Amino acid sequence: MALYWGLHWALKRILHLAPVALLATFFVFGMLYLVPGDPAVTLAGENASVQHIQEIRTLYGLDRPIVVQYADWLGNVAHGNLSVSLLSGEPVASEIAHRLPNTLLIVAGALILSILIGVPLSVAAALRPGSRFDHWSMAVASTGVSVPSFWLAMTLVSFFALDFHWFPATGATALSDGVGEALRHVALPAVALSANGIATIARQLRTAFADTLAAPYVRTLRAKGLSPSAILWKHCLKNVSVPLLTVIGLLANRLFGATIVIEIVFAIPGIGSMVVNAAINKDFPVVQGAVLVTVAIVIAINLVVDGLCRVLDPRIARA
Amino acid sequence: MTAISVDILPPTDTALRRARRWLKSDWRAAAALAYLGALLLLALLAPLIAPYSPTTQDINAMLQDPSAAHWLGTDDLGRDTLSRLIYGAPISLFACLLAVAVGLTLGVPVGLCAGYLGGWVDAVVSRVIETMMSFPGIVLAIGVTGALGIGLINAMIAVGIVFAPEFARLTRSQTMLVRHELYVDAARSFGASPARIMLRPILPNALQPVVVQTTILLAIALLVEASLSFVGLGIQPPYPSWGAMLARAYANMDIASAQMYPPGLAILATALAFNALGESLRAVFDRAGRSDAV
Repeated sequence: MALYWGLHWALKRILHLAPVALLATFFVFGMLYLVPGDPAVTLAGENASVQHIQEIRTLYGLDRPIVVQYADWLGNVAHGNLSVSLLSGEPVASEIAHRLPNTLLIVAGALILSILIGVPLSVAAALRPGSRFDHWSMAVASTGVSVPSFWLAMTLVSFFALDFHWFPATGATALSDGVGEALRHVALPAVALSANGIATIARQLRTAFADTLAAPYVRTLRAKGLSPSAILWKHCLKNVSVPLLTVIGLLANRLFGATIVIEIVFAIPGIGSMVVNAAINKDFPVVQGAVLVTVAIVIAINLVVDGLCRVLDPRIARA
Repeated sequence: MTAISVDILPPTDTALRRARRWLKSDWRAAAALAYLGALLLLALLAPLIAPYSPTTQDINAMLQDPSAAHWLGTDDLGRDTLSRLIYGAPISLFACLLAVAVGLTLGVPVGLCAGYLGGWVDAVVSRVIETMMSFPGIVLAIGVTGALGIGLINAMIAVGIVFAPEFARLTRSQTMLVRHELYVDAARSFGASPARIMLRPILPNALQPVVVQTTILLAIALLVEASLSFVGLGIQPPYPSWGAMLARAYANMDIASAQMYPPGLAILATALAFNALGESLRAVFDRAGRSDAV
C-alpha cells in the first residue's frame, strides 16, 4: 500500500514537473532567438559569406517554422543529441559528458562541507540563543553570504597554493585517476564554494532549531528531565531534517551557478568554464547544451529532495 | 486628586520619526545606511575625489606596492588602484540598480496581475515563474548575456530577467493576501476598474516584502556583476568595475597578490551593507505586521 502511494505520488509529481521541464527546454531553445537579427547570421558569424549563411540555415533547419524547429530540437535532445559545437565541430553531448564529472565533484564536495560544518554550527548557536557564540557565529554567517566566492577562491589560491604549495593552484583530476590526487585538486575549489553554503545552512537551520526548541513538546520533554542535548539530537533533528533538505535543494541550484566562476579561477575543465567560453565566443549550441544539462540536474535534485521530505515528514504527504 | 495626564494621545508618528527610531534601535542598519550613503556620495563625486584618471596607464609604475603616490598601489598597466576603485563605485552601483530595476519592472506587474486575476493567468504565470527559478541564476544570466551580446548593460539586463520571477512570486503571493481585504472590496463596490484597484489599494499594501527583497537582490546583483565582469562577460576594458579589477588582479596574482584585496573587500563590504539593511527591514516589517494584527 505504501509503495502504491509512493508511486502514485512520484507519478503525480512528475506530471506536475512535466510542464516546467518542457517550458525549461523551450526557454533554452528560445535563447538563440533573443539574439538581435537573423539566427543564421549569428551562428555563421558576422563575416560569413551569403552562401555560408545559407548553408548554416539549411544545416540547422532555420528556414522552417519555429514550432517545427523546436519539436525537432526537442526530439534530438530526447535522444541525447545536443547538436555540434560551432567552434570545434565536436558533439556537444560528449563534451559535456567529458566535463560534467569535474563540476559534479566540486559541487558535491562543497555540499558535503556545507552540511558537515553548517549543521553543527547551527546546533551550537541554537542551543544558547542570544549567547556570545550565537551572536558571533551568525555575524560570520552573514559575512559568508556576502563574500564573493571567486574572490575567496583567489585568496585561498594565493595562500595555500602559491605561498605554501599545499594544494595545486589549477586543474582537475578524475576520481578514476587516483582518489588522493583528485581530492587534492578539489579541496580549494570546494572550500571556496562552500562558504556560502555553510552560511546559508547555518542561518536557516538556526531559525528552524530555535523554532523547534520552543515547541510545546520540547517543554514536555524537558519537564520529564531530558538533557537539552538529548532533546536536540533525538527529537529535534528529525523535525529539522525537512528544512535541512529544503536548504540543500536551494543550495544545489546556487552551487551550480557559483561553480562557474570558481572553475574559471582554478582553470577546471567543467561545465561552468564551458558555458562561459561558449557565451564569449557565441557558440550557441554549446551554451544551450550546458544550460540544459545544468537545469535538468537541478530539477532532478529538487525532485529527490521533495520525495525525501515526504518520506521524512508524513504530514507533508497528508496535506 | 492628581492632575489627569494629558499625554494620552500618542505623538504624531511621522515617517521620519519612525525611521529615526528604527535606526536608533538597530546600529547595524544605521551603519549599513551610513556606509551606503558615503559610497553613493563617493560614486557621484568620483572625478573630484580620485587622485588619478582610472584609465591613464603609466608603464614606469606597473604593479607597484602601496606608496605615498599610489595609496593602494598600481595594476599591471600602471593604473592607480585607488582611483580605479573609486571610479568603479558608480559603475558597480549603477549595475546593481539597473539589474534590480529591470527585475522590478518585469516582475511586479506580472505578479500583481497573476495574484489579483487568478484563474488561468495565475496558472500560466506560476508555471513560468517556477520554471525560471529552477535555472541557476548565473547560468541563465550567462546564457542570456551571450545571446544579447557581451557588455555591462546587457549583462545586467540579463540579471534583471533572472530576478523578475523572484519579484513576481513575492508580489503575487502578497497580492493574494490583500486582495480580500475590506478596503479592496470597498474600492470594488465603488466601481473602480481592476487596473485601478491593483495600482491604488493593492500595490502599496503588497510592497513591503518586495522592498526587503530589493535590498537583498541588490547585494546579489553586486556579486553577480563582479562574477560576470570577472569572467569577461560584463564591463569591457579599459573601464573599471570591482569585478573587472579582480580579473586583472587574478592575472597577476603570482607577482602582486595584494592587488586583489581592495576590490574584493569593497565588494564584500557593500554586499554586507545591502544584506544588513535588508535583514533589518524584514525584522521591522515583521514587527509592524504583528502589531497590526493584534
